[in-house]
Amino acid sequence: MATTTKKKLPVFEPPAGSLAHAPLGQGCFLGETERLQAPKLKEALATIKNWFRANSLWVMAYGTGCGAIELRPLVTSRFDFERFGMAMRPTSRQSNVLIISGYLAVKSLKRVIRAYEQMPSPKWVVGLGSCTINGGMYWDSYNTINRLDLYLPVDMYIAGCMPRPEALLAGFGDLMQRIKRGEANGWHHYLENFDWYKANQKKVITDWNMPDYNW
Amino acid sequence: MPFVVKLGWSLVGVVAAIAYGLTIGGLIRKVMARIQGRIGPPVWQPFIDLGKVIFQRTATQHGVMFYLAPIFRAGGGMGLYLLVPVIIGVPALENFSFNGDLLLVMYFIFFGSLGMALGAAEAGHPHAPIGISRGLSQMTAYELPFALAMVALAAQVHSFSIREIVIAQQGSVLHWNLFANPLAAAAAFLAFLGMNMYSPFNIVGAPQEIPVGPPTEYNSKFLSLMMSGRAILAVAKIVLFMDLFLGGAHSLLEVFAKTLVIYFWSVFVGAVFPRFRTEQSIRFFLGWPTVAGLAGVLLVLVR
Amino acid sequence: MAGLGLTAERGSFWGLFLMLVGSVVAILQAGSLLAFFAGWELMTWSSYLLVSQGRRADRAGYLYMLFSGAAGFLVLGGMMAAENAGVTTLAGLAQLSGSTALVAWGLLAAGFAIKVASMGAHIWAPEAYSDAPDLFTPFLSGVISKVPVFGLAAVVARISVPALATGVGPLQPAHVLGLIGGLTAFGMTLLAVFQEDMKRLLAYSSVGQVGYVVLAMAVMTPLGWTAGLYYAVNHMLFKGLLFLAVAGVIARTGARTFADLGGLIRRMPASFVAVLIGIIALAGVPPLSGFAGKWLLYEALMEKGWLFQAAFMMFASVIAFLYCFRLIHSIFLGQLKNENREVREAPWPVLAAELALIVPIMVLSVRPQLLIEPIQRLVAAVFGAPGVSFADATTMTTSFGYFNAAAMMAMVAVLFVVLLAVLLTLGPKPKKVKQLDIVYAGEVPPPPEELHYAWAFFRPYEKAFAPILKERATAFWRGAADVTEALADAGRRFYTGNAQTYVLYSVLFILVLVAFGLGR
Repeated sequence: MATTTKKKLPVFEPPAGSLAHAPLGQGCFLGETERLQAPKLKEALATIKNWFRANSLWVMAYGTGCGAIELRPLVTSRFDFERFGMAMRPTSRQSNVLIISGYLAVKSLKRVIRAYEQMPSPKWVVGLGSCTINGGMYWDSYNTINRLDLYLPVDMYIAGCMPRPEALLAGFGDLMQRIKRGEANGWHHYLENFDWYKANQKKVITDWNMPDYNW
Repeated sequence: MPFVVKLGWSLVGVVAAIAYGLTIGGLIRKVMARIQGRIGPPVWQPFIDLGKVIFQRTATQHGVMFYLAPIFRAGGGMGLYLLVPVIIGVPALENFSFNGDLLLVMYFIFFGSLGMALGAAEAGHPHAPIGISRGLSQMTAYELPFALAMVALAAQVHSFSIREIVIAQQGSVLHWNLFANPLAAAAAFLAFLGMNMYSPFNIVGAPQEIPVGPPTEYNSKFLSLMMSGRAILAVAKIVLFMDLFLGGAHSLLEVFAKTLVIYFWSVFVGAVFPRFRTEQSIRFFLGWPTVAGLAGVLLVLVR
Repeated sequence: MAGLGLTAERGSFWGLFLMLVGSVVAILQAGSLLAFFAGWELMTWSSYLLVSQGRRADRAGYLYMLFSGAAGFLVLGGMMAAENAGVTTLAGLAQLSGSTALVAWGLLAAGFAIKVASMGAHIWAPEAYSDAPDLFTPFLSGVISKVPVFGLAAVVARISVPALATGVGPLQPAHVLGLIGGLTAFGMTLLAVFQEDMKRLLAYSSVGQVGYVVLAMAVMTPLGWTAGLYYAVNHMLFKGLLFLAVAGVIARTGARTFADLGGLIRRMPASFVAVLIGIIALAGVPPLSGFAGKWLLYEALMEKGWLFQAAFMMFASVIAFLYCFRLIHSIFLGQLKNENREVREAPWPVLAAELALIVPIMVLSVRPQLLIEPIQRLVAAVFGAPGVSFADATTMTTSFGYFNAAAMMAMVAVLFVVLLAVLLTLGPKPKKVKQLDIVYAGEVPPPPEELHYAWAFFRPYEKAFAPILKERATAFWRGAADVTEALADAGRRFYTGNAQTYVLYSVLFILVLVAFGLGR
């Protein structure tokens, strides 16, 4: 129990009429002022580097939809994805794989875009479930998106509703093979076709209050 | 031994210590996995993680202190390793321990954490100072039993020099400080749990609450330096404890065996206990471990 | 020097300051007890007037005068006790013996201890330090707080220890002084952790650090005195540095609590470097000079056999890390608030003064001999033996351990340079991102005011230490003040304003006189 009860915490209220979020100007965000440049796709010693990347995939612990329920058995003792070097990381700065697990509401899409753009390259997106491919069960919903790869570059789809952990393991194994062969370059595709992706995103998300590229 | 040769050997020692630290990290993960009934990653997994982090193609940084924090962390770990003699009597492995005694070693442990705290806080992420305030509070708490244990050991041999403490423990297994002054050893080993920030004292980087705390904003090459810093810091600490309580070592095999035993003590405790809250862990350290430390000092005074 | 950049509150500031400096010099030069006391009182008066020139300094000045006056009375009492035995010079104090020595020692030490704001009599210090004008606080904390230490060294220690053999059982008077010093160090450091005002935090920290010095002096061995004096000089350097930097921040931003600041590293990088060096030295982290002071202190305590005090002081100095980090984080790191976006760097005279303090700190970090050798000569004159010896040119050794400052600095510098080179050359070039480009769970972060974690920074720590954090000393003094007030109130009742009671008093008085006269 705190003994110093006479300290009253000051309440900071934003000035009347201001946004709940920080204004985009004032040098708070880097986003709009820097030109994006995609690094060269070819790199030295690619085989070795890709082997390292494939064998140590760090997944961002972000369950965007109902497919995340199949991720939990994947992590725990029965199916155990740690034996392949995969681990869950809590921040996007330290993760390599973003799993869109199931339907993606437009509201979540805005946050997912910011989280994806804050990840360091190379990074991969895995679409879990049928909703990411063609809308799945929620194809006629007013609030979800039907095709994920209009908004984010997808490197691997795992079909199903929901795919069982064995299917997930097979999917991740395929992703690792693609990485080792040097075929999984969604992040590069995103940077090269940035304007197209951004136009698609802004068409769906009406309350855009972020910079165009979130560092 | 000429200075350049000594420098060379120390460099080799630093690299070997980083490798050793990463390996025991992998070993820990394997053991914890087996405890939990699953297969677990291969033992060399931390090397793969380190390689992946080094090979990332983009990175972001938040300012000058952001650069400095991993340097402080890794530098603190390496400096600490260089100040602790690994095997007394083999000049190649004594590093630079003639530069400072136990007090310097104790304070150098703080060098790394202080630097990391500063750099992590510069990112501006509110989770960093939350993690740091918890970590520093815990550090002050476990420091009391640790200081009592160190004082007891130093008073026993009338010297703060680690070399003297090791030499005083030669002769037989019963001369080891673990058995010669068990109360001080108890205090120090309980403080060791807090030092490693492993469960149950890992509220500093509680992933579910504050995404890893201080290293929240760290990525690619900064993260690689932090990971290697953590590895060598762990190795330096267990070598220090080996010198202080398990009678030092005469061969590399002995080093590996004794340090593994010390490290697994914290792992096995961590496997069993859930996480303590900050004030619970502070009250814990100021309770029985401090009593043990006080009793250890009394034991030395009475003898 | 800093005064060129900061404006003094009143015109009389500089005149009083000169008087203060003169009084300190007079104290240092004093040969007789009376001269010492005269200088002491002059110092008290001029510093009181200087302290009360601060903005909200009425209460602070009043408390300061009250306690300093009490300290002055005790010192006077001690000197009068000495004079009863016929001693009037400082050198003659060595001739005291027996219970006179004990009484004189006790009174003098008590006076000095109060002036140093030891535990129990500490409530005046935080107010005085924090409410004094910003220009004066560095001097107050750096120099004035050392004068009682000088008093302890020059005056109290002359009363030779064998003469004080009449202690209470095994409890020597020096032990009591050491205990007071240690408790002050611990208690003040702990209280500093929970402060929300910058100058109050530094004030509590100052008092705590001087507690270390008192403890070191109370050890009464050559090594202990070396430690105490070295630590005192160091404290003056880094505390002055910290107070100056904070004064610069206050001058530019006008804010005094941590919750109003944050992220100033982008606008005031030079002040940041000054505070960084200051807190590394304060915390005693190698390789800066603060570590040598701590090292000497611990070696002294262990040599004397005061094991518990040594461990306790290690504990207290780790607590210092907490408020050190708080200081630098809540002001310079974290998020820059919108209203502070245009602040300029601190005035350049302040920066110049800070540089003048940083240079000695760095020099001492590499070559502590520069300070220790003169101190050794002093200590050898008093005790007849030096405490610290130098094995080779750079390693300090005592009977308990060794420390090589230059090699430490070299090692740290080499590690730094190598790792920085590695970080700069390998890998991709990192992109510098702006203030709000942080991982906020995919959300756009709110304005910086809501992101800066500065209030109640150590709340869990406070909860853990709750049982001992009650404000007992303030309550005690308040109670004493209440009792005095009640007594005075009772005394006031004698003056009823009614002429008839006065006649009654006169008659009673005459009766009493007659009764005594008859009784004789």
